[in-house]
Amino acid sequence: MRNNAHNTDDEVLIRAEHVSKKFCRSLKRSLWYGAQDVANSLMPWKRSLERIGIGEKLGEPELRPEEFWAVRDVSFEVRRGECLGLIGHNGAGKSTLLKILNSLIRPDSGRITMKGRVGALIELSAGFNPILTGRENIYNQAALLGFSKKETDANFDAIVDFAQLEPFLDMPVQNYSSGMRVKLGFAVSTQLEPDILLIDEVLAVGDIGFRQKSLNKMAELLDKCAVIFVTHSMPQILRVCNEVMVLENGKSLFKGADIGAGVERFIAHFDSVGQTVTGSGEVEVVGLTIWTVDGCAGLGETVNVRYGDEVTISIEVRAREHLRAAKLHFVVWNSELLPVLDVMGPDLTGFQFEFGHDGRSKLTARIGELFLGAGKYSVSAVINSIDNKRVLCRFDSAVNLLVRADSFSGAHALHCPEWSIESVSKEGQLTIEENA
Amino acid sequence: MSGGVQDNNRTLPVRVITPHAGLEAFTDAIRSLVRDFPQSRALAWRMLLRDTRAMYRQSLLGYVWLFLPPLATVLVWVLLNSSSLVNIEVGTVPYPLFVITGTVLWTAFNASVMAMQEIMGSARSMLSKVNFPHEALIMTAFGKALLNSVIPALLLVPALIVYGIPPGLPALLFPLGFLTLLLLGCALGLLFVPIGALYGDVGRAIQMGLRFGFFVTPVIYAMPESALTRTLLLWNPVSAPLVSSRSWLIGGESVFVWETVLVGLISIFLLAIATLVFKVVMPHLIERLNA
Repeated sequence: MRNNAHNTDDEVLIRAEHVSKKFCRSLKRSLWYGAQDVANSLMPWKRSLERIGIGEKLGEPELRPEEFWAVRDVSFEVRRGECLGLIGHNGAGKSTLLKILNSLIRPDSGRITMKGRVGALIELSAGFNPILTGRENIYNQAALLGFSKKETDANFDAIVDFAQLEPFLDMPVQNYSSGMRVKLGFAVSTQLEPDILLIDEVLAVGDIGFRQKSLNKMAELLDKCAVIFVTHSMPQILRVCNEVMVLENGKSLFKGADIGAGVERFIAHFDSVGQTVTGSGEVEVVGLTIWTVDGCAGLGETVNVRYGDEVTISIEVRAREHLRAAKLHFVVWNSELLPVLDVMGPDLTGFQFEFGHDGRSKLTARIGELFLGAGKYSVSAVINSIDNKRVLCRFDSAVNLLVRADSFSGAHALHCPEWSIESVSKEGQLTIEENA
Repeated sequence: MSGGVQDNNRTLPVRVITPHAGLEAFTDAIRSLVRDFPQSRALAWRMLLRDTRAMYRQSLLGYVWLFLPPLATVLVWVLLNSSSLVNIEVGTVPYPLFVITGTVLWTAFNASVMAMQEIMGSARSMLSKVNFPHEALIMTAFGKALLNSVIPALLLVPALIVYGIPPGLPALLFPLGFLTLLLLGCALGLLFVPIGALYGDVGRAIQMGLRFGFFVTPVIYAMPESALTRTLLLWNPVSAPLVSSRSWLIGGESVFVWETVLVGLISIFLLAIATLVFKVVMPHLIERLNA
């Protein structure tokens, strides 16, 4: 994706070989294992004994009771100018891997070789003291990252300028908003001129303007460094990374330069939220089918959709009580459980319908072309009373959609309208071109 | 581990991260202690400034709080002794001056143990998020111990003047004795930091030990004449430097020079060991801190 022609070809700055790390579920045991590990690490003769076959092997760790692999047998290489994106669900091992790379903790087996100065945009305000002013905290944070006072003095104006916090410099940091703290932390941290850059979703905060600014700053750093980038933002992965690794339960599920395939792998791995039925129970959903160009899916199933495919949902409901009419709408949720599309009736409330004399009714909604961006979506069917005051039945995750769209956009809906271009030709004539 | 790789006339430091055990862990620790010294010293200074500024900016009385606890201790014991509720004989030296000196010296030991004990608590979030030379925390704690014990020691100046006791030539040894207590406190405090980081029991035990230690150290009473009690008390490593330093300053007691020197040397040795241990086990601790 990115141009790295100017870089030396074989400069591998990060090489991870079969890295594994185990964690413990129970705190009590974890502390006890910690004490054991501490004791083991303090016995310099341990390794020599092990070599001649005495004592437990340190090289091939085994899981003790209640332990699990937080990272398991992960290997990769990153060269200068390359960016490896790490994606995975919470608890997949991304942060643990970053901590190992940042030498905060040690792996239980495997080996990592890092060449060059390591910069980490992970926790930007870890050294901040809330009582002290922004000015004082700049110096503290810089010292924590290994800058001398002289270096910080030299960069001070640039930092303040970048963070746009000049009026608040002498205010205690505890009065800063969380966004301001991140700005300050980011401004200090990016003074670094690292060879290796570890980034963990730090750009999620801050206003739009600052986010743009920090993305640009990062892009600047990206070309000079070997980067490992952890994020949940697929568009950022698509934009920045030239290789992606999908982690699941500590293992590498996918690793390759086909970012789109990696992202798809990641999205497909989202656990579908279990079906839940709530509401007064006066109405029940008997059946539901969703059709696309390629196929169809019933209750609880997942259907693949391409961007722009036509989609139709049909549902069969039955009134348990003596009910004449009700209102129905479908809500489409994205994987972050945000509603992105509401399929409604003409008055933008539920679509009103009447039950047949057997209490049943079958409804079909031709949604038409689906303009959703790539991702996994779930559909809820919601049946309300006519006055919309009571929920008669709400069926969540009735069916799932897996949408594929080859785009770098992170927007929920993608739309290509009819474009036209106005331009003045050489002869001074106005021409209007319209696309098909 | 550090080696080098040549790149555009620039040598990149190479870091190898492995499970790390055995002798290698110690040699690595020593190497990075030396290599990172300039950075850790600068960082320690910043952190000391940061913590003291923050603490006193949040307080009205500020440094007065450093004088108050030893003053309170002195007041209690002087009152108890003068009202004959307890009967403490300290020879020719005025009792208040005796207690002030003893308390100031005890504070040096006590403050050092406490400063080391507080290392993990205050740096917890930093430790698990930022990679920095951890020995800077020890230096900062040492600085705090120094600050928290030297400032109360200033009480001695007016006290000596009020009681009209001009310090003699041996008083020049007083700072050395003071420093010995400081180092002893730091060494003992730091030794228990790793295990204390895992188990809160350690911190409680140490606090209890310090309270108990106050009474089994000749702080508010003089070294007894009885040979048996004396030997028992001398097994307490704080006794010899404390009694000797007090005697160097205000006289009136026996001096235990060799014992003090021995305690001093052992403290330095232990402090070095404890620093190394701290450095080696830190990744294990960080892992458990936020597990």
